[in-house]
Amino acid sequence: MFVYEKKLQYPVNIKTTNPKLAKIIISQYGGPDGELGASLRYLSQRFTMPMPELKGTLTDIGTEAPPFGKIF
Amino acid sequence: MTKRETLLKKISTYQFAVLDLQMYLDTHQNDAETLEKVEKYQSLLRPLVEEYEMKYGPLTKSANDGNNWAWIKGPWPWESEEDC
Repeated sequence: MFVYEKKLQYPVNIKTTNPKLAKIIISQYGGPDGELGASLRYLSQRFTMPMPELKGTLTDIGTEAPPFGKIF
Repeated sequence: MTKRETLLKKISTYQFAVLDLQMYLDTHQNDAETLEKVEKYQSLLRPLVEEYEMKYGPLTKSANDGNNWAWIKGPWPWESEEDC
């Protein structure tokens, strides 16, 4: 289960808006081969991972590294 | 940077340190030095979160207290302070 924290992992401060670049960046998160897909793959791969260290690692990188914590 | 943003950045810094060290611990369970560091940063983090939530509102839904649902008050992380 995810818990949303009302803060960013790293503060983002956009000084010049650039819709074209924004489109590319957002697709790195939600688009094909984006972080969102990767994080769900990590979380699925946990179920067949035999080593406890890596069950933990997959859980953590699947939960923490992706978009939820970083820029949303 | 406003006072609120400075405090939030401090919180984020400690929280990120904790997260990163915890991830390291997944593969290094017996590293006493790292375990100690995690505890240290967590203890530094707690009063900052308390201060923030007292002054500026809840960081998580469960932190809501009082007789008013403060969770929906801005600014949200993707908004700037002027937007609210």
